[in-house]
Amino acid sequence: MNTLTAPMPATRRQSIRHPRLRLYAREARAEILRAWRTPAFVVPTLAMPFGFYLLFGILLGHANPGMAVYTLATYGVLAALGPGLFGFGAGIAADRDAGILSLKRVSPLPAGAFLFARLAAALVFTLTVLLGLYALAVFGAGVVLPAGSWLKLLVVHLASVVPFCLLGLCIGLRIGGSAAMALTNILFFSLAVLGGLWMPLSIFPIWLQHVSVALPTYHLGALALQASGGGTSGGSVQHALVVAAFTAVCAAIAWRSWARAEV
Amino acid sequence: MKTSSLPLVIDAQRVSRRFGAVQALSDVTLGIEAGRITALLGPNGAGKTSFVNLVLGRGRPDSGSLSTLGAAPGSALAREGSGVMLQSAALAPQLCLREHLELHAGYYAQPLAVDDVLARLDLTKLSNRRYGALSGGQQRRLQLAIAICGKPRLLVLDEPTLALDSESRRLCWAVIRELADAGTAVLLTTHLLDEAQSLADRVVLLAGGKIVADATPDALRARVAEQQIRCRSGVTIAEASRLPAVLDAGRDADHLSIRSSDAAATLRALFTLDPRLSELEVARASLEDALDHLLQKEAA
Repeated sequence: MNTLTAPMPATRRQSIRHPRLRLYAREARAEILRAWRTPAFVVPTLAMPFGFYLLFGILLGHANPGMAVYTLATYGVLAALGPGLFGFGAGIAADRDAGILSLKRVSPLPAGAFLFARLAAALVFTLTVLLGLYALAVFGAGVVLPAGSWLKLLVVHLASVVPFCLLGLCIGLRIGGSAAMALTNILFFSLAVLGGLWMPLSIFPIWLQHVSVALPTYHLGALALQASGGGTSGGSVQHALVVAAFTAVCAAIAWRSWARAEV
Repeated sequence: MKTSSLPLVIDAQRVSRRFGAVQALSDVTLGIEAGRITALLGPNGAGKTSFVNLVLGRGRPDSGSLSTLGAAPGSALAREGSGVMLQSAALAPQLCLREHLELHAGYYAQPLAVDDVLARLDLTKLSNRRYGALSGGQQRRLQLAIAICGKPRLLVLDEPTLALDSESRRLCWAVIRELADAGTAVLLTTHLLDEAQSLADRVVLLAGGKIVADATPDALRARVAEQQIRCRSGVTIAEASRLPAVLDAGRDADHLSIRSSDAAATLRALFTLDPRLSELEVARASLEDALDHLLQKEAA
């Protein structure tokens, strides 16, 4: 027996005992590290929601306390849109082009661990931005909400990551790297602006408002506004159902794409 | 080539695969044994990549049967026992060598010690460097490290030493040989015939999706009777062409080159013609000559 035939000695104490969970945790850690070490991903993902909130929620909305809450709710959804779309859409397409995904798929890594790791990275980034946004809202804009509202808001914002990740996955598995980046950018801005995340829909022409109602960002924004105590048209069940339907369609397409992807 | 008594790690029986109008593999029956290095050779489009992809579960045969490590290719069982180095697969540029290796070692039940693998491939000093900051050769060595870190029963290597300098290439060959000697089945595709000659126990030559030859490198070379004679001589090309058993002749500066089907007969006549010839070299057909010969024969 030599160095290449002797197995790894079990000297290190493993913090997670279950091998499957340990594998998922390691993969997630690696994915989070990768994302943190990619300035082209980190800077816009973190800076955009903070910057917009500083500008529209605090500086321009200083005389309008409602604006601080409105933008807190909608920019929280925006905070989930970036990591979901870019991490999965452009990220997976780039990994496919580089052959990184090919190597993962022929390795013993379960597909679930790969997807979980990506989702974990998106959630960590979103949570980081959300905590910053909430701090800005409280200490910068003086937003005061009941604890229950904060909790509901956090749940809606974090849950927003899932449909955007699945939408990104559909793009990443079907389109090449540079085209995926272009499409992701277009989708990001379209979903953000037309979904009413950047500015209230009431400033749009009526026909554009009809388009907005078809977008998941509109419904997630509406759910976030309701969680923060703001009022919107339509019940929360209706908004949640639309988001759930969108998520299910994306999941079905992503599942099919994963099974068929020649990587 | 007759199969040995070694256990089969890959068992392909009459496997065919078509892509549109292209018949990538046609009725291929091939067993890859434990403890041996099998080189899959052939021109571009011969079917090498198609076969490797099927072995890895990246696609299914249209007909025939194929098992990898006794299981369906691409199944969890097959993947857990395999180490793979793909020619076109990169790694995440943001992670360090050690991070990559620890991550991939964690996919396997009984991986090798990461420090040992790093040391064996001369990567210890680079272990904290990010993949994106490595040279092409260093990246290939890490990819090999990742392929072997799970102590695989099957090692699939696609052009493993392309872009490596000769020292790194020899290091990789030694590591691959070490694993094969310990019982790992190695399936190797390469365009570097010196690699196949030096490393492989067995060469399988594919052309047009079919197996054209299957033998040891020496046996393949022996199939080609011709030999190459080279010497310093004043004999002209015309004179040399008339010598017995000469297939063709040529000159560069003071040196005469002759391809002969019977070197002894040619040399006897050559010495008679020019007793003062010097710097004589006689070489057997190379593996490249042998493969060219076999491919030409197949094409004819």
